[in-house]
Amino acid sequence: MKGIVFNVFEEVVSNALGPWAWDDLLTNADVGGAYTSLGSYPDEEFQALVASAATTLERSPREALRWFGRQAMPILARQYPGFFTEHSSAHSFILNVNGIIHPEVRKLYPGAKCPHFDFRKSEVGSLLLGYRSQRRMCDLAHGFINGAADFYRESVAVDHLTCMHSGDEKCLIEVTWRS
Amino acid sequence: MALVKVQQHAPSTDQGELDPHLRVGKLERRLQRERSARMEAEAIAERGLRELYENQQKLMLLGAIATKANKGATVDDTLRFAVIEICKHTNWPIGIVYRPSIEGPQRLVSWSIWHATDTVPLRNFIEVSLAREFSPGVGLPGRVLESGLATWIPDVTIDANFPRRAEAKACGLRAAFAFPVLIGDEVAAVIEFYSFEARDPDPSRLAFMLQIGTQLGRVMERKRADDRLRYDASHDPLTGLPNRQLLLDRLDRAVADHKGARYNYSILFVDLDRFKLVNDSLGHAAGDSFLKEIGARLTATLTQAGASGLGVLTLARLGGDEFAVLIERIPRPQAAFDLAEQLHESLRHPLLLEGQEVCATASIGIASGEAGYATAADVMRDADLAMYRAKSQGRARTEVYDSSMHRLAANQLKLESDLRRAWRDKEFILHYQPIVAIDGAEIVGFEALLRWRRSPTELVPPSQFIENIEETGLIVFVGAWVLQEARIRSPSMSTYRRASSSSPTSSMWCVTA
Repeated sequence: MKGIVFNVFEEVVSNALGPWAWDDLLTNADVGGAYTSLGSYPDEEFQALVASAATTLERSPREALRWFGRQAMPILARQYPGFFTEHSSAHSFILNVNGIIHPEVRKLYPGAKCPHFDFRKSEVGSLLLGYRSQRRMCDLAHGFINGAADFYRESVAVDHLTCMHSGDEKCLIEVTWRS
Repeated sequence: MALVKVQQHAPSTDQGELDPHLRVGKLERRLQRERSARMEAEAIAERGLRELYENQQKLMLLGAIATKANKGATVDDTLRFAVIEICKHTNWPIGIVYRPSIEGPQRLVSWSIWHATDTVPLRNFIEVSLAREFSPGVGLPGRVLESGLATWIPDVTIDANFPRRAEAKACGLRAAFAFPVLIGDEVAAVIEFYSFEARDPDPSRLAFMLQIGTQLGRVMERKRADDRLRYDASHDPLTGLPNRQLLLDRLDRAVADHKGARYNYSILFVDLDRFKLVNDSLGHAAGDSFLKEIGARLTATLTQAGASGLGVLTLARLGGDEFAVLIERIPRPQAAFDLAEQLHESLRHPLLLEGQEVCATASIGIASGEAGYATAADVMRDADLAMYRAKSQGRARTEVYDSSMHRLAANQLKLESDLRRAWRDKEFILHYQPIVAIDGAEIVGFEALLRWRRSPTELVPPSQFIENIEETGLIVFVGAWVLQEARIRSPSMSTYRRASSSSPTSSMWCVTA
């Protein structure tokens, strides 16, 4: 996992829970804690931090990950405004994840293992995202989608039609825009 | 500044130690500073990495295009490759290439080279783009043609000067840029790209694209120089017609085609009659104009004949006053003869040279593939023989090669060598005939008549050889010998001359008092 994710996580936690919360999380998770945005760190450390945050937030780790994803969006928008200003809607933003955002991420962070989403439109007009990754972080994607909708002032419903956490081969996430 | 103020107002003990609360506050601020410094350092490193990555990508793209061109790819292949690579590099879904129209450079038409990552949703836009023409200043390609600059449109759907707006909108295309492929100041091509997103102009990208355009321009320039060299090597500089080498190449192809029993062919040797007279009397410049005009007339006739479906035609200037027409895939053997008649007809009107009317005629010899030639050289030899037959039969006519011509030519060759031997072996003799005055009283001179004693029993009359000794130039020596002999025989005579200087074939010399 790239250090930038840890750094954004730190900012989200500090914003929500106060300046000392991150140090508590580091202590509770028993991780090193010196993360620079360009470095790479074990996935397990991130998972331990999410679990630790979940305990503090009194939520499940999956819920904590969604929470992080959603709260991370404004921070990412501040740090990488170009990705956001090029789009006028969350729909357009989400569809460009494979084509623009992830390639850009790979430019900044050589060796970043970005997931690939396949997109299609459902018969009822919602957007279907297929996701398959050994990290099984569909909840982070879920949170990012909510965060993107917030950024563009839209309202969406996100449902996991199939999920790797439920033993499915891949996750299928349905995003429905509420008018 | 805030931090400095706090320090200034902070109460301190004698030992310089701080109150614990203030110390914590100070440490927190130090932490914040450290954190800010770290984030700034990371941002600087990210920017550096990003620039490095982008520069690497640019160099790789430029390098890839150069490698493609250097590996001998055609201009088309190199352009296609560049379009695909730029689409990949920019992540933009479509690129289209335009070239100046052949009928006047002031318009752009499609080069029929384009690339789309997903053709189906863009089909309509592609079709419209391939069918359109762009005048200078019109639409994106037209603007680039006019300015010679790389140009960016943030959103084509709201751009006032974008004729394909409706089609672009229907496909969801928004931002666009285009750049020229420049050879010097000349826009040799324009390449445009589109994005599905509206985007503000990116000057660094435009500058880079211009760099690619310059590189592609060099590839095209090299190809042009190459084409020019090839053209010059295969064309006659005076008339612009294919030269002997190109004709021979095509004749080789025709002979091979015929061996495969697929297509027949004919070749017409066209030799201008008395061209030397034009050159000698009006000068070489006039001679050149004459040849150019003849070339133009023959070309016009061929264009007409080609339009009426007379196979694949090549008109070449073989050199001097010799032209040739190769008809590949000739529909019927008679067609070659018909074409020869049309060529004669095209020369019927006099040419105006240096204010003088000059009439041109040509002798044409035809050889055709039915004879089953093995090589182009054989075909050329026989067409040449037929042309010489046309000349000897009175010029301004056409002769079709038949095998008797070959025998005739072989005989001619043998006769020539026999005559040289005869001269060496002194086989020529003179018969004398007196010239008597009209009143019959006095011999005023005599005629010396040339004969050839080929063997003790064979006396060859001059009609069988005089033309040959003329053609071979032997006449100069033979003539001098005749006059010398005559002088020895009749030293009292005062005039020694050939009987008729106007007839090139006279075998009689007159010796008079």
